[in-house]
Amino acid sequence: MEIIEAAKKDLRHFEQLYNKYYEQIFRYVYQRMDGKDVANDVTSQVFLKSMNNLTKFKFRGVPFSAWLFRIASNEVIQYYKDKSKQRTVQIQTDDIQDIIEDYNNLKGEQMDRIIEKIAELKDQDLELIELRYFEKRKFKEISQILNISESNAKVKIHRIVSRIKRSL
Amino acid sequence: MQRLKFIVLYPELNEAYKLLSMKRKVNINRPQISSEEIAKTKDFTKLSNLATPTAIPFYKTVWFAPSIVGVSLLVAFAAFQYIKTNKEPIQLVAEKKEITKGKTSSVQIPRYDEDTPCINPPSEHLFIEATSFTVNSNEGGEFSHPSGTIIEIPKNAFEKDGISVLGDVEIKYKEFKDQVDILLSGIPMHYDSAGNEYVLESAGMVQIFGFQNNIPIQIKKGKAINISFNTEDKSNRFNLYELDTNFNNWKYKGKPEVKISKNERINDYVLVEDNVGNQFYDSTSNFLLEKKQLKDALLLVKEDIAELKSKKPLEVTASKNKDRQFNLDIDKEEFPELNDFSEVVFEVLEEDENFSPKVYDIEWKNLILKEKIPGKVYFLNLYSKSKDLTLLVRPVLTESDQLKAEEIFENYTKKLSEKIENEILLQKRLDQAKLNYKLALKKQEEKREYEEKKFQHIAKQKKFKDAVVRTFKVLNFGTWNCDSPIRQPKGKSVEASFSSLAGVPLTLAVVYLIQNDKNAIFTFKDSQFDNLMFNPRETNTLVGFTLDDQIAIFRPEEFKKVNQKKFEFKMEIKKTVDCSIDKLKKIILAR
Repeated sequence: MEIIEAAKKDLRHFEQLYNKYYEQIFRYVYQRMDGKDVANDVTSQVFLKSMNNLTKFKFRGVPFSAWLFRIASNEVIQYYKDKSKQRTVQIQTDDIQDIIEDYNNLKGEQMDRIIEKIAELKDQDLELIELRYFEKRKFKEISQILNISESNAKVKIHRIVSRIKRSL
Repeated sequence: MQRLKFIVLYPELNEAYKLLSMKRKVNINRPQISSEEIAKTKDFTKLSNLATPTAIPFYKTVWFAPSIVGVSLLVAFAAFQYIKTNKEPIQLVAEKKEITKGKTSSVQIPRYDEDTPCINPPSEHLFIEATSFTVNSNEGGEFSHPSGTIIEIPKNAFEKDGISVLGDVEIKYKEFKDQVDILLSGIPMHYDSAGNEYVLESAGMVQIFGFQNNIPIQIKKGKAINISFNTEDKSNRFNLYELDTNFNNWKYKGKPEVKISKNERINDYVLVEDNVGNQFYDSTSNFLLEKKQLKDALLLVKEDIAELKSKKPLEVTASKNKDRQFNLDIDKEEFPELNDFSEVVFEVLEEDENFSPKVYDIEWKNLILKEKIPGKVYFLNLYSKSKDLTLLVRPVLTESDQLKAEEIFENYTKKLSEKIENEILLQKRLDQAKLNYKLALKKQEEKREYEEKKFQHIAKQKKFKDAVVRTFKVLNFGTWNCDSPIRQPKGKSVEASFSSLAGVPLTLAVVYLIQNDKNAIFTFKDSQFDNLMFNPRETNTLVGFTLDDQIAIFRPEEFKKVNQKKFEFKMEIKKTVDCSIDKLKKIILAR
């Protein structure tokens, strides 16, 4: 908190925050983007916005990183809105197994079906699956990023996974 | 149109492509990016050069007090230098005019969309006219706008590119107080706060510009024009914003000063209303939050119960006839309900007539066990060269396993009944919370109605007029607004299309939703027509302008008919040339 307060008065102190969170934010953005260059542009935009609005940040129990992730989430949405493009999804096949933990040996066509199902999810549902299974975040962190209650995050994720399982 | 997107696969880093019909592009097993690669993209210096941070209010800074002395010295020094550099004040007007204090006249000033692309008045015929008045820059002055607004201009307040302006200066002033004024202004009312989109609800917006001989001038640094206008909203929730036309966004400029009339009766009324309003707001929001939390908790418990029920352990049943048993070597992964027990024996049901003791004499080549009721009844299919037989069997445990099973089942029933008790309790609490919320809403509504009647009564006595005055300092010529950011309306979403009452399709680039209780305009561009949101509990009016500058209106009473996801709004059409702003206000705001 001291660094944030110092950065509010003098932006040079923001460099510490930038160095601390840059990789986390870059990875979050890159997960939702097609290439490094675009991810770099959007990440820069996230930090620029956070620098410009830093004086508005007040600690209300939600960590600074969650505030940054919320800005990042909005910037990603804005990017796809501006470009009128469909959102990109990155999937590691190992992570699929975590979603469908009851199925030990997924067949090729089952895997395709799950991927298709994930790609067809609503934006909000996709974000939950990405945060939980692709980025391995805790429910608490997810709730802070999405500004929802922890139990709400659990219920929502549970339902999305059930829907995916039912498709098999 | 079918949406075909492709999947990119990275098996062992070899790229391959696969076509599937889906909404998004999917990359599978894309190689992970290393921390070193990410670090290469960092450039804080470049980024910090681009940053334009919102400043902390000056009085909150630690250097404020000591700086006062320093600034005073600097000002004295700058003044001395200024005189030395021989920059004489100038007069941009060729001929002097008589100063006409307080004299106002209506003039049409150039359209603002010519000045800045961020302001787009929707109609060519209907727009708010500016009021013009003249002031002698050397003397300053105080002016009254027909609306009752007071504009105070200090002495020597103007400059042109750093040089003081002398003589007569023309001030052009517009004000926008209600939804129709705001709509016709074409001024963007969205507000971006840390990436979150809001709409500004206005307690009054003004535009003020200064000219000398039609040449735009500026307000000197350190000088400010004071604008005091009457307002109906007494609350303190409004902030001051200045429109940044370069970035098409509003800049926060602190809080305007709010003065309340000395009329004691009105003061009392204001205090009572504000307090009551806040209390009620808090109470309903608390109930709403409690309701939501309980609903979430209940959902979780229900999920837990469903999960528990799906994993019901084996119910112990004692052996009834040891002469009807099979000792089978089963794959416990296939029958997880039997997993906890070392030895399970299957006993043929008493009622199964297919069984005879002779089955033990046959050499069975194969057997298959299938669940009928997991943990309770199974099919045992036996195959030999000459005969196939299906028996109904149930698992029977050994004595030591029976004790274990009893314990497991006891724990399970205990856990399940605890969960069910919790579910009942939560359901009761949720019902109560729903009731509390309803009651709080009802009370709030009753209070609102009471306050509304009281308000109307006072307004009738004309004592309300001039009760609340907002004063703010204008530091630059431009657009200033006393606002409070609010969210877009919620409740109903429709895929909207528009037509005239005769059913002729209308092409509208933008529609404006006016919600009676909010002094704001919710703008929907054509790209947002498939998700036009409104609150069905409120009084709404939808307004649009056709390409040939006709007004299209969808009245509040018509909103009751909006009952389908896809809805064609049949709009009443009026020609702007035949309409006046007052007439439009009568139609839209019932004034």
